[in-house]
Amino acid sequence: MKNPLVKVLAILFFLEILLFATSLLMPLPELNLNGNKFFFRFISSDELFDFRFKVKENATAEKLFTNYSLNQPFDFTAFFKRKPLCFGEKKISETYFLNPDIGNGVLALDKFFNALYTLNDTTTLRIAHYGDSQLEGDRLTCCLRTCFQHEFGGSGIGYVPFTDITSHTQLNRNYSANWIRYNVFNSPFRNNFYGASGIVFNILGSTFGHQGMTAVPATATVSFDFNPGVVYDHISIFYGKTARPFRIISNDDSLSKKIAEDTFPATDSFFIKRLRVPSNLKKLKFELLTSSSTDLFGFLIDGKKGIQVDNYSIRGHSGDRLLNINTEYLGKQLKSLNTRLVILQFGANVVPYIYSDADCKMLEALFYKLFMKFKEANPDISILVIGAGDMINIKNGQETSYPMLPKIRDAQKNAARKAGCAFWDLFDAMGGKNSISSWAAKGYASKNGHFYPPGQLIVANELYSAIMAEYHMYLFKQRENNLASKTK
Amino acid sequence: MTGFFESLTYNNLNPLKFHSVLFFVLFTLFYLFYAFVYKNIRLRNVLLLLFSLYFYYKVSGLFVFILILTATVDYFVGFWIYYLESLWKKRFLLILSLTVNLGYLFYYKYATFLMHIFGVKEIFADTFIDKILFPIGMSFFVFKSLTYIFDIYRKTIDIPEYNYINYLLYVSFFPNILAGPISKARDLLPQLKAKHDITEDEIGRGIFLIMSGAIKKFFIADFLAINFIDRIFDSPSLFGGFENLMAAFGALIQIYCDFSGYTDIVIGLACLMGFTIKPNFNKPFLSQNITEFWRRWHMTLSSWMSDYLFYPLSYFFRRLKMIGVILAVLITFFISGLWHGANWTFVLWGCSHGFAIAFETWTKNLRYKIFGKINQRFYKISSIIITLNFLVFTIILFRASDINKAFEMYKIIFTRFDVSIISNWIHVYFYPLLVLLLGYILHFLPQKLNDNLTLKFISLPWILKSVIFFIVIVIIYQTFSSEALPFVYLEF
Amino acid sequence: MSEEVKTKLNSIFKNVFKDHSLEVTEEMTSNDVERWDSLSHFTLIATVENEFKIKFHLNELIAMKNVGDLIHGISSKQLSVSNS
Repeated sequence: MKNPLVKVLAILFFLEILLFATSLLMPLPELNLNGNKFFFRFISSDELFDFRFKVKENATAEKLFTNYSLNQPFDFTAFFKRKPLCFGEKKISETYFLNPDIGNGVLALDKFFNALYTLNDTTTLRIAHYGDSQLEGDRLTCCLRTCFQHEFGGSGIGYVPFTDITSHTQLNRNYSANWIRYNVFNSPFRNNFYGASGIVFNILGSTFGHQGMTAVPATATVSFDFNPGVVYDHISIFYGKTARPFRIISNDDSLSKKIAEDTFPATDSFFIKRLRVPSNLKKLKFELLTSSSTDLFGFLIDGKKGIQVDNYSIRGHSGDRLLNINTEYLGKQLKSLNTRLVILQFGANVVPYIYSDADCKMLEALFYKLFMKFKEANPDISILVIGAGDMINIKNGQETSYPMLPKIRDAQKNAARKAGCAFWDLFDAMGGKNSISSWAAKGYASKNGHFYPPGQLIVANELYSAIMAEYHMYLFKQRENNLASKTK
Repeated sequence: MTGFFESLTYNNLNPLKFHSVLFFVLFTLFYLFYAFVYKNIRLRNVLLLLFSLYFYYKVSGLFVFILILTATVDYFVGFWIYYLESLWKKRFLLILSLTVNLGYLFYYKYATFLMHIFGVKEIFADTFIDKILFPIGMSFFVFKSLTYIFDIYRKTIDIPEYNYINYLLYVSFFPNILAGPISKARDLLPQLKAKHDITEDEIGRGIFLIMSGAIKKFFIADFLAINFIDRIFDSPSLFGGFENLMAAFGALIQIYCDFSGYTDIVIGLACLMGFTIKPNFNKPFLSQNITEFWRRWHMTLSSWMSDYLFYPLSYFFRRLKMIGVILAVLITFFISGLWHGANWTFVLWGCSHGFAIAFETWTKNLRYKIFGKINQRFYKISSIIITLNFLVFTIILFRASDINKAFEMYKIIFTRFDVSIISNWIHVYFYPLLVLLLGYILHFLPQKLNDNLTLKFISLPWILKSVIFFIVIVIIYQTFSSEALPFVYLEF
Repeated sequence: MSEEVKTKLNSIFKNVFKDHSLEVTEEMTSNDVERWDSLSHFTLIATVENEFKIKFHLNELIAMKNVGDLIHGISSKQLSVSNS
């Protein structure tokens, strides 16, 4: 009599054979049914025979990676499975992007989209990208800028501070030792009149003065060696209060030749003034000669028209210290710059301090205050808030995801919604909890949440796609409105 | 077979699970030996014990020593209780065993909960928790071992277990060590000591149970959790009243499919080895009241609680008659809630069920009279509906991660209920809704259908059995590998 | 002796379970009486203890399998009471 347990073994072995046989058929092609894609899979031979412990694949992240590696231009609308707006009815919105109604059917990003829509050849439209170490040295912003300038035109790399803790990704920068850099986060200025970036520079004179308030002439230098591929039309100096005029001597560093000397007027407020420097030079050295206390913000490396994206990053910042900038001053600067979209990308640095729901409530209130400040500063701008991304905490050699991260994201989202700002959920867009492991495994990011260049490319593209999907909705609505008004 | 030998050691980031290729391979290897050894009781039990201990090591690492320690202590205590004459000594030993067993449980499971109650700063708690990982399944195997001690003390078991291997095996028996069902010593120990001729029937039944359990757990429960329920319970305020209510309905069927599916797999595995484990579920949503519910839901736990907690308590309070019974019920359910987890949500959930039963006890005569007066069918059906609603309502407490979230959900259901989004919601959440309904329908199908299917499956030739098993695995695999459906918040 | 016990038990059962057609037998268990469940069990026991002026230990109760065991238990306790 056959041992029934042997039958079980037979069943198990035959099962293994079937699994092995079908694993050889992988990968199967996708099936298309009624416009919905179906992906049928058998267990792959990898999963059957590889027992090594792998970081669990994050499906969302993996899909992103495949899309980008195959270099396929993918359909934005299809990817977000967007449904057309139902005017006046409940809107179905995708989770990654929130573009709330701020009243009377106007959406949060409409002001920016309007500016985008009416962009002409004579103006440059600017986007301000505020952030922390995630953005330092123009990281991530550079990719976003490429996306916008590719579609809407523009050149140059926007705002560049004279010094920074870290190197700049678009240029090689050297500077003299007598720059003093103040910022809203960890190096407060003597008053609230910071540049829009939250940073202000003074030059330390040879005579030791009180907080840079030196009466003797002080000279500082800064030189830029642009990366190949950086093109610009003109360079401007962006500065704040100065009692007396100051000069800038511009040198072409490749030829070691002086090319211009410009004098800039005193002001009680701020100025953006062009230097008489030709476009598209590769190496430049600037000597700034001041004769009084001069508050300097940075250079603007700009194009003739189109879009510019300014990187306003401060390492360690959580955004709340921007509340320290004089609101009116900030508003005026944004207006002069023609900044119509402000992107606020913070969150990573609050994580170690948030433990409870009460902390999250406080965080939400704080962010709300910050968003409203920008609205107050300049009602003509749209604000886009980017939520904190996933990151890993390494404690005692063990990796764990921060449990409060989704709640921090929620606090940001709620504050954004309340303040009438748009919100992009980076946390979910990258794959959600523990997704950073997948990104790190591919070398696209570090485990503590900083994106490396390939990762930055993906994130910026995703963000850009999300904004553009909303923009297309906006255009659709405009067309509908135009048709409606015509038929009246 | 890359990395196979490395994967044999414990990795705390990747504990062994039933639904893994590794377990499949290990179980097959084990069964290879088992098939030729199972007729010899001694060899069979040694093999089972080795595999069970190894299994627990692969799941919980060095905590396997806690398991061995608990079992060993109870093995000896069992003896002493039996041999010592004086009642006081017996009692002392009983308390000793309880202290050791429950002491561990308290420390590992409830230490942080207690710290929260006493206001220990959370930062400190964080670092403390790092040091305390939790031996998985401890709530279950401790309770298992205690049934032996209690029964020896009460003389329900006539003689203690002399064979250490047998006792250790009883506590560490791998199918039900992680999440039950809680087999009583008087049910499982005798089976371990006896030879059992395994029949074709049992084999077929076992495989059928594993398959149907897997479908319930992975295809229905996990799908619902990932694509629907988790997201609403994580952030209820982002959803409306209707969605939160649907999440509650979903949570009830999800927990049922998850737990009963897992239990079926456990019972099926035990079947394959010739052992019978008492089931945990019996169409719980057919209950006409909560009292009945607990005779159909997690039956081994309620049996344990009834025998070892409720019975002594109601004995103790018997002079108080009805009040005494109610007191016993409330205390039992308070502890039952706490057993499920170190969170006020579980305690509240348990207590709410306790109050329901207390209410039913108190009104029993009244309800009996009503039953006599009105149409019996109508009474039964409305009872089922009322009970189901109560279950859905209280499952929110069970499933929410903390009290605030739970009350938030209640508030949203009652104040933000917007019927206008219902058609939209059905359109967007079509697949989860379908799976939810499938879960409930499968539950309400008559048991006879299930039995007939099982018989048909048993009668199939082994190759066909294998093919069907393969198909089931493929179906389930689709839900493993597919990405979560996109979150959709219906704006309101 | 056990006939007296049985008669007295009969009236107790009738009262506790509100069923006047009930007649106790030695083989009767909780399964045989509709209203006898774990919730009413100890109400019954308490009433029995009260009426017969005895006290049961928990272990003794656990060991009882049917009404016959109960009668036996009552009888032996009464015996020990009358003997002391």
